[in-house]
Amino acid sequence: MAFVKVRASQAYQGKCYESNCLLELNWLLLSLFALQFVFKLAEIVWLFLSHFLKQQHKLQELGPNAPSYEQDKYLNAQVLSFSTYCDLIMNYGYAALFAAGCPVIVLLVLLLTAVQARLDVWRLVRLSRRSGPKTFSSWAGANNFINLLAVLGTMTNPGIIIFSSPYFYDSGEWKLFIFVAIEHCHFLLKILLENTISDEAESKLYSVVRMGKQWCDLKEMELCARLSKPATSPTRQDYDLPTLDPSDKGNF
Amino acid sequence: MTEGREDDLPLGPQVPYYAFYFPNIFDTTLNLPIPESVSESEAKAICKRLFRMDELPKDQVQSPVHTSQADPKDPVQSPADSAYINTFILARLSTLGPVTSRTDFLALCLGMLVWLMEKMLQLKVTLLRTTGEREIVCLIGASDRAYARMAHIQKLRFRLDVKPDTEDAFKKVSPSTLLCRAPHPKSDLKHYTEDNIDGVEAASSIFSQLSRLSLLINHFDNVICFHAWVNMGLISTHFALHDRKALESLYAKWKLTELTDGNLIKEIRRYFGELIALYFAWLGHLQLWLLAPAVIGTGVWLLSRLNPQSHISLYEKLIHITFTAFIVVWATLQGKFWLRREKDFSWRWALYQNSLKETDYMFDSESREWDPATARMRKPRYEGKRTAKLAVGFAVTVLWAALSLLAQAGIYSLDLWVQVGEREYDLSGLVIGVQICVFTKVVPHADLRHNRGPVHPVGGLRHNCRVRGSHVQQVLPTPRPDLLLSSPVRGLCEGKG
Repeated sequence: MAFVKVRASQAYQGKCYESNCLLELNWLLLSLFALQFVFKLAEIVWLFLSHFLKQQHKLQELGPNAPSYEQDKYLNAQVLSFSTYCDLIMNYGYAALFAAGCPVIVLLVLLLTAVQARLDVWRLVRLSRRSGPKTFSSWAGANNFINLLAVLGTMTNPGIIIFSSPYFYDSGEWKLFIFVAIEHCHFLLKILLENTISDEAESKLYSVVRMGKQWCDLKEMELCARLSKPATSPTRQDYDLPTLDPSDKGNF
Repeated sequence: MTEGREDDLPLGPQVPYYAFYFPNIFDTTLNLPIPESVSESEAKAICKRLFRMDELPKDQVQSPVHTSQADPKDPVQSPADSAYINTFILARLSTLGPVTSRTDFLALCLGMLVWLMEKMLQLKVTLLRTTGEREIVCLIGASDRAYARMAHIQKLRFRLDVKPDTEDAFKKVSPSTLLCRAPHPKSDLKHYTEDNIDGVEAASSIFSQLSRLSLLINHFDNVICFHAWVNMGLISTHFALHDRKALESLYAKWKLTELTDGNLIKEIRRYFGELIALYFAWLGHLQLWLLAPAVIGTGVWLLSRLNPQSHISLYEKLIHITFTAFIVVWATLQGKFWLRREKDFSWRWALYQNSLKETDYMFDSESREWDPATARMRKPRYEGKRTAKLAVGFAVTVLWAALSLLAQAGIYSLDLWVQVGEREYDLSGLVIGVQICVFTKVVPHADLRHNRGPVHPVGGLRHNCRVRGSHVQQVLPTPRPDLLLSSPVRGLCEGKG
């Protein structure tokens, strides 16, 4: 952004506002978050007006004793959208990447996340139909992206402090050296932490679960024998399913 | 099948969990894509689409492998059983002559659907008229025995009421009960409990609401193509039904409890499923982890605001550098601990079983899904479209980013200033903020950046996700007759041992 600015603006002539790029970053991030709050408020008002009141009106039309399956029909089909999740990750990204430049944005991210959580609860319970069971094991893609943000944060945070803030104006040509030193330290610290707090516990758990699964299979066999199951595979009769004749062309 | 009007739905295990809304087919003003008179071939083609028959290989449909006498080795109600069901549908269709009235044809389709659900899938079907009698609602439930059958077919894993006596490590992490396959349909259900560590809800059924819903949807999704029904206007809408009592009870807790509370997450999972439970678990985790940097960050920010720039001390420099290091450590730990927590949930909710069982999914670099027709793994049908979508999405994102930069350059070139008192303020930051907000709000709704795949009619049972770096298209336990039949455990399990 600074790259674009110094080339596009005549007034700046290659400099940040008041020669303080950090101040400008602060101003930009704060206005961004202020706008996000405005958007969120607008979303709440829109949800209330366009969905909640509309639903209430329809339920009033149905009468007070309307069965629940009819009430459910007037709820929204979409439960939670992926864009909500993207917004939250992006906000987290602002905190992870630019917290050093504008430390107060972490507080704003926290507030936005809290508002989003409460809004989602209300939307899910009051405005949405019941979702079908969605079974999966991990937010793996999102986790990778979050990790990537953490890696980038090791470079952007010291970069902002060293190059954009007034704290290191007097460092002159040492700036690059200081940046590389701090960035490497951060990166090493990150790698150290990642290796110290490893997934070993989970990996062990995973292998134990695998082991346990085999053990369960054995136990299952024993139990099956004890329960004296029928000697054959389950048949249609076992399932109480009808055995229909394809040649039967009667009415159904 | 019961007919009539019921305001209070029956309680108990047969309580309906799913509803289909049919439009009033006698309404001639309905704009349905079906001609007034339907020829025999057209009728067959439509029925094939509605009942997933066009997905089956020809030989499987036209030469029925299943006869009226049940074969003991018959993989009952497995995907191959779709062929069995379809054989009957085709047999019935073969007697079908040209249908002279559209209404008759629609009545025939709906009749066939209800027959299929009630007689073939053994579900409890209740047909009711809606208020105003503009629509017909079909409520679907099942008995406990039927759920047990579905569980066995779909390889749902249960817990055996047996304590482990080997493997010290396993003892430490295992619950008091163990996972095993779903019971044989004729076995005594009292030996089995619900398929998660969190325990069973107090109900007469051994199945939780979540399991029942999942079993039910998976069950009829094998033979009914919802897309076709909805596209042709034969079903106006279909959805899972809320349990008002459970929902209100959950909401009451939800309002008062923090999302970091594990018990609340369990409750959410029991009602809404793993996807939503994990989403709220992540929200709770993020909020908890943001607390410390928020407090410290606000302090650092205030310190930098209070201190004039002309008096920057070494002490202040150190504070900022330390805060930078703190953010790096925080971001790393946050990600790490979420990963651990997520794995913990995954294990607790027995989600790992999917990845353990479907081994060929795990190590396959390409996405695969289970083909019920050929009983083999196959590439998802929309694979080509997915690649195209990805390419278009990437191009749009690049274009969007370029436009964003151009817009920023334009805004900066305007040199927007506002003078307050003696000081001039730069408005470019605010305008850029608006621009970023608008761009980030618009792009996700363009629906091109995210490759969602086709929207599944029953809401993501074939959810896209990644397991150990491989793209997994279908994670929910699905009938796998090849594994089921080849497994030596199965033979022993069913009495040979």
